[in-house]
Amino acid sequence: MKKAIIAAGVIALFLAGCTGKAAKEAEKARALEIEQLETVSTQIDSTLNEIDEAVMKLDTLINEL
Amino acid sequence: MKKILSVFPVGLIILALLTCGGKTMAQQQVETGKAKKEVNQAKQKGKDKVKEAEEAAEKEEDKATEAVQKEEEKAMEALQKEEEKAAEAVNKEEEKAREAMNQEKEKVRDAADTKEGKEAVKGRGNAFGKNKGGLEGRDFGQARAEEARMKNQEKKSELDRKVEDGEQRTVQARERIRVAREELEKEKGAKKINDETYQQKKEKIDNAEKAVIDLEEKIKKGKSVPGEI
Repeated sequence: MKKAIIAAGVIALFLAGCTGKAAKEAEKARALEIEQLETVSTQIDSTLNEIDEAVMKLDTLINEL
Repeated sequence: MKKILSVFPVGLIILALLTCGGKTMAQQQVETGKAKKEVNQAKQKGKDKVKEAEEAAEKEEDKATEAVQKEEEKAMEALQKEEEKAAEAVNKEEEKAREAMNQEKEKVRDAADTKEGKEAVKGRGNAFGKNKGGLEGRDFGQARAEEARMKNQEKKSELDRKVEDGEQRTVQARERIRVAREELEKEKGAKKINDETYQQKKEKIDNAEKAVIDLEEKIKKGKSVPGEI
C-alpha cells in the first residue's frame, strides 16, 4: 500500500513537471508568435505609409502635367 | 496724187496690223487675269483644305481626350466600388473577429469563475498563477495572441486595399503620361513650343514616370508582406 502511494506520488510529480514544462513551452511559442505578428504589423504600417507617400507624390506630379 | 495712192495701202496695212495687235494684247491680258484668278482660287482651296485638316486633327484630339476622360471616370467608378466592397468586407471581418474575441473572453471568464468558485469552496487560495485583467497567465497569453492576430489581419486587409488602389492609380497615371507625351511630341512637331518649354514639359513627364515606377515598387513590396504567420 505504501509502495503504491509512493509510486502514485512520484507519477503525480512527474506529470505535474511535464505539464508545467509543456505550459512554459506553449507560452514561449505564443510569445514568439505575438512578436512575429507585431513585427509584421510594423512592416505593414511602414509599407502603408510608403504607398501613401508615393501615391501623393504621383498625384501631384500627374496634376502638373 | 500717185504718191498718196501708193502710200495709202501701206497705211491701211499698218492700221490693220495695229488693230490686230491691240486685240491680241487685250486677249492676252484677259487670259492673264483668268490665270491669276485660277491661281488665287487654287490657293484659297489649298488654304481651305489645310483648315479642314487642322479642324479634323483638333476633332481627333478632342475625341482622344474624351475617350481618356471616360476611361478615367470608369476606372474611378470601379475603384470606388472596389473600395466600398473592400470596406464592407473589412467591416464584416472586424465584426466576426470581435464576436469571436468576445466569445473567447466569455469562455475564459466562465472558466475563471468556475475555478474561483472551486477555490472558494475548497479554500485553496489564489494559487493558479498571476491574474492579469481577470485572465490567468495562459488565457491572458491566448487573448493577447488573438488580439495581435486580429490587428494583423485588419492591417493586412487595409494593405490589400491600398495595393489594389495603387495598382489602379498606376494604370491611370501611365495612360495620362502616354497622352501627355503624345501631345508634347505633336506640339514639338508643329513647332508650337520652343526647345526650352519642350525640355521643361519632358522633364515633368519623366518625373511623373519615375513616380509611377516608385509606386509600383512599393506595391510590389506591399504584395510581398506575409499575410499570416
